[in-house]
Amino acid sequence: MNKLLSIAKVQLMMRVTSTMWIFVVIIQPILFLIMTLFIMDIEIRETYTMAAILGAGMMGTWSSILFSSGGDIDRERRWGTLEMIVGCPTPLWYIIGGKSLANGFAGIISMTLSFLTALIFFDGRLSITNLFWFIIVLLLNIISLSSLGMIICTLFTISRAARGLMNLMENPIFLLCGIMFPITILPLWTRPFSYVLSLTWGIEGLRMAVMGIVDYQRFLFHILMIVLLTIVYLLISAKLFLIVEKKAKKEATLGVY
Amino acid sequence: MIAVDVDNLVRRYKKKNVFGKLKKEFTAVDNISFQIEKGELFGLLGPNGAGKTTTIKMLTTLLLPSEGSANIMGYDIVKDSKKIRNIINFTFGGDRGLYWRLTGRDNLRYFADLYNIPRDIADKRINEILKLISMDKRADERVENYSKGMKQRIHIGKALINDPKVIFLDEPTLGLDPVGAKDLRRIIRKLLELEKTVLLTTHYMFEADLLCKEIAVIKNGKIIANGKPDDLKKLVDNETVLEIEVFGINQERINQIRKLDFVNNLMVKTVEQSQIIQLYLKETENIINRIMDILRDVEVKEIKNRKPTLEDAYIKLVGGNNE
Repeated sequence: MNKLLSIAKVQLMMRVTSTMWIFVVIIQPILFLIMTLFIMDIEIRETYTMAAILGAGMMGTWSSILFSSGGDIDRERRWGTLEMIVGCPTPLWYIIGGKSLANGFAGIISMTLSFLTALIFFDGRLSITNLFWFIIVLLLNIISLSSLGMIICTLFTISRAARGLMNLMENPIFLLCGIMFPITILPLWTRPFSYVLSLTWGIEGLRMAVMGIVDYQRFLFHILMIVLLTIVYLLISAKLFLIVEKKAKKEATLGVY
Repeated sequence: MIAVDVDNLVRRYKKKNVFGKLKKEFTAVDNISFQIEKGELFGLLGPNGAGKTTTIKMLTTLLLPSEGSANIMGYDIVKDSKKIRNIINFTFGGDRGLYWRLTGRDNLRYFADLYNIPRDIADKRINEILKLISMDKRADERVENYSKGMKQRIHIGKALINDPKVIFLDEPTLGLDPVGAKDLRRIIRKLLELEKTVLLTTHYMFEADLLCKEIAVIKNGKIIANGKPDDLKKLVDNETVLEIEVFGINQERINQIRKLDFVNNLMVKTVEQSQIIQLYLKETENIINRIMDILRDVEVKEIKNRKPTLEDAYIKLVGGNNE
């Protein structure tokens, strides 16, 4: 646990120097929240303020993971620390996993700031019906997105060309996961993409916990989907980490940037 | 007991084009073999690009060898890389490789965690290390405020964090001022008192002469000489070195001197405004007139004769002709 906290501490201390990170974790979610609440009718706003806060919070989480985890290995390489950490007995997947979790938990900052913004500037229903399940689903979401972050990290390390896709991957995920509006209004062919993203199930699970769980079977199915998809993400990332480490040791790219 | 055993190690680099086809292949380390006794400070010397860093990276399990094998304390660098990482540590020259937003102490603490050292042991050890590297008073400042020498000392501190049996130091004094380099050499000598086995790469010959018990000279990936520093110095025992300090000599004159039949080798060093021509001579009689004849229009500041050093032996081995 000490090790994980240490990795997370170093990650956050180094990330707070990035203006991009500050923008995606702090400014962007607040802007999104304000924009969403202004678009809503006053009557709808009363009911859906919490849903907008959840959207803003998860937006911050995903952006933090995408832009931080996506470049974590590359940043370590640039700092000259990648060889130092690869040469340690702690496996690289564990270190990057710890960093990814720190990136994910940064999303709590987004959610808290969004909540405070709504509390100060907007009226609306700001309560959570089922706090216990809300915390469980939030933690599962963060862990799940962090494991997705590990896949992104390895993919962007294997292919430098893929890094160019980083900016393109932000907004489509918001749309596909239903952060902005329900996925039911999207064309049917987009549905499979939505379903393999754990955030689709996660954001809906959070909304249920906030609004009140009417159908527990449906709610638990959402949790099951998050857990299953997280396991799949972890298995894929484990395989990718083996490839990355072997490739780097073979092609001598650990110290090259 | 043998701590490091390198046997016919080879490392080739392949360059591929955008379609993945092999464009170029070159051998960075070519069939090298050497052994380091436990508790010994072994120097791997060679010019830039000779293969020193590639060798260290293979021995520290960061790079896979193309052929050959190597053992660290009996563990194979390919098959037993996880076990090796627990008993070795390393530093690479330069001021990268640290987290500049963290303090020196936090950097060491972070690496202590990554080396699975329990917190209570780590805290005690970090304090001891900080004293050893004379950083105990500046340990709680951020690395970004450190000088190059201080960063390098923290690197050495990091290399001691897991109390390793074998330490690899890749050009640790690179880019340091003379005082900083001297201080670092003092720390390296202390590692031997701690019974560590050290592999040091450097291209500062006096440093190797001062610190190393055994030396291997590497050039174009091949070990071209090895032995004790005194053994290597014997290679130039029968030579004399003449140093001529001049102002504004041109290449044509240098070539004329080089062609003189009594000149074995020639090196030119530029020091501020002047150049120092180092001549390695087969004979010393009646030579000054012939040299001065070539230097007739050149301002000569000083001429001196000296005994060959390890650096001279090194120059003879690697065949350098300019700095």
